[in-house]
Amino acid sequence: MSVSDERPADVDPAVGWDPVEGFEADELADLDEFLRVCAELTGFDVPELRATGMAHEHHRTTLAHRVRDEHALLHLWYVGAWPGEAPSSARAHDQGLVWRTFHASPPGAAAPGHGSWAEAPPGAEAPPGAEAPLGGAGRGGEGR
Amino acid sequence: MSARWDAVVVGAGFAGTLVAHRLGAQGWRVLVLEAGRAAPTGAEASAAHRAAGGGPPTSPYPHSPEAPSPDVTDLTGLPEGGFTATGHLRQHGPLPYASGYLRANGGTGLLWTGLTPRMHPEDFRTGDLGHGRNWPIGYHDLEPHYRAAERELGVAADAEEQRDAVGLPIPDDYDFPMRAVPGSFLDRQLARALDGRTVRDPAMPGPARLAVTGTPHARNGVPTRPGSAEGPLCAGSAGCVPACPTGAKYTPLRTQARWAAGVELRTEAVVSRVFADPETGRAGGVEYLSGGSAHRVEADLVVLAAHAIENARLLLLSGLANRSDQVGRNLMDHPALLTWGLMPRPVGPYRGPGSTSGLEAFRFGPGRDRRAPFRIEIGNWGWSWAGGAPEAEATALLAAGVRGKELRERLGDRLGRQFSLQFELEQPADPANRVTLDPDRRDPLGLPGPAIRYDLSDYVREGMASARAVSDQLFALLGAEDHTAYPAGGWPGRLEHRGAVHGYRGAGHAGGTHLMGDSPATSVVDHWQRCWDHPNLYAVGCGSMPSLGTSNPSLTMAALALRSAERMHRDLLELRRPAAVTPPLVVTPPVVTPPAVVTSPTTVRTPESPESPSPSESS
Repeated sequence: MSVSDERPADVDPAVGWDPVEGFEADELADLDEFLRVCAELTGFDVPELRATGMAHEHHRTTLAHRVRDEHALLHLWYVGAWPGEAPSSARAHDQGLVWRTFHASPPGAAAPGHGSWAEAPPGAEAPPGAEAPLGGAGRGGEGR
Repeated sequence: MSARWDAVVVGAGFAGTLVAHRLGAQGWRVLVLEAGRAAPTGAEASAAHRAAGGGPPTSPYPHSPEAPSPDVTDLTGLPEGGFTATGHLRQHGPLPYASGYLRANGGTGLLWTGLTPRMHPEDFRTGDLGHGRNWPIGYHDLEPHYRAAERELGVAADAEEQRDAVGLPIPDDYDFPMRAVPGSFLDRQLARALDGRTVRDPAMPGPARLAVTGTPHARNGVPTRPGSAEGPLCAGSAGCVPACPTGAKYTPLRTQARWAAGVELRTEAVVSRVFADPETGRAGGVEYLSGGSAHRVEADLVVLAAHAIENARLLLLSGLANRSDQVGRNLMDHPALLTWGLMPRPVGPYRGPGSTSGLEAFRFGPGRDRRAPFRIEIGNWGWSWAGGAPEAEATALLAAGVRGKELRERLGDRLGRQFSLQFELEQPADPANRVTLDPDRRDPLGLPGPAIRYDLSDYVREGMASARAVSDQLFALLGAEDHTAYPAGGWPGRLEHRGAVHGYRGAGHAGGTHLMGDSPATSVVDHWQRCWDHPNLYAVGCGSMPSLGTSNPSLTMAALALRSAERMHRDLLELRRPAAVTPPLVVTPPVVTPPAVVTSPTTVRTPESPESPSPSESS
């Protein structure tokens, strides 16, 4: 049985599964329960998980595997693929949560518009006083 | 079976596609033989790549089993240093040639990054600077062809910036077809911290002044005049390699869509030999393998455009053009030293083209006496080229047992601040770096495979030492955390120089294997890319370049191809104008003397008018 045995001792299991044994066979059969467990694991709440459009597909993928553990569920949501497998679809790959952690999309998956890459990403507000260029023309900047 | 063509072009990548286009537009009948298969659209290739969860750059394209392509994943670094290689290229070291290429319709031009800086005037005189070879032509000979290539590819750039910051002579009244592609938010952060500051390159006599400078692109910006752009504006899909999903990046397929009716493409047609008259040296045509049998085509002009390594292989297989003993030698690439780290604040990586700006101060000037020059690309796609794609970061944190909100926050913080610097170094021509035919190994069609001997000279290694010294100072100015490390297992291209370890990737810029020069004794082709030993055999592409400078070479390859196509057109006209006495046929070509008829065993050809197929074409 695959296990998530790298869990550091100081991380408290937030919900009541046994991290060594993985999940019981019928434990994740209910979609709502599946999403509740996954929300706890991923750090994305249930509405956020549902908004990816992947809830049903990832649930099906999970139920298709006999051995299920935290690591596999996290890999599925974050990377879009069950460990060791290709993504269940291009959409599964495109909706990987890893990209959402920094407000990005996987290469080729989105078309946010010409020049969108010049705009500040969330959380990038400039430190005070940094608006004035330190020197030179700053030609690498926007508006060229 | 035998058919006669005005020209047969071997390879439907960048150079072959452009040559075929120009000859076709002038009315010549051109057969293009491509070893690989037809390519999917960019949208299809991008979707396939994502559905597979990623993979090496050639992976979403169809691979013909009969025309294998090398990819970067053929190389594996060994835990104790050194490397092993599998696949199409047999590698004898001591260092790996670290780039792949694609044999498919459109060639490696399908998956290129789309950056199109011109070479610097100095780059054509590297021999005079004490390293490598001079070109037989200079920047000014090529300048009008650069403009033609920029029109054909659709280049977005700011001419004034290229003049001022790079020092390129560009005519005052020239506008690139499109306005510059906007710089990234990351570029702006670097400009804010670096512009006007200086760093010390140990090889340079004085401090180097920094200026973040926009890079020309063959991807669509805002047109500078009506009709100067083809295809949609770049929408920032950030997937240019392996495929632009929207069609904003130029690929040779865009030019192929404009081919005249007299150009015919055959895919999965692997040319195995060029044949030539042993007395006159004239090439008569080629033999190709397709559908399990050999075919022979005859042509007045043979143009090899199959990639630097495959061109050399084909010349060696044919026993041609090698009076100088330089065929296959002087293999060059741009070894790319990567450094990477975390900026103090989020920069929004993985948005827009892979690189939109760079630092140009180390490309030219006196430092070039002592170390290889380099161009610094600012990498917009995080640590992906260094091997730290977001999926790998996530997998590492998962394996460490991080869960829940902490996982989300730690990943977001780390990925959102990632950036990289890509130092693309010039590698001078060295005859010891070479492609030969592997005596022990044949490809699936029974043709001897390419074998490579490759190393980086002390001059290049000194360039790496300078690059790393500059990188350290840039990271300090940026207040960035440096995460650069080259563990042996992950870096097949890895070397130690003066006590420091450097890792490099291949930029995919193979050149030099049939380099041009001003003497048949020391070079393979003349400045028209015409083989000295065979007046109607051309070898075009980056293989003709005696130096690569520090510029991504596709634009220069395109400019050379367009220039050579003019010469080919004149060659064909001259062939049609010997002592023949019969009157001209049907149409008159532009500008040049009306062609007379030359007797030929099969057909008689004159060029059609450039705009429309001539009535005689149906014959």
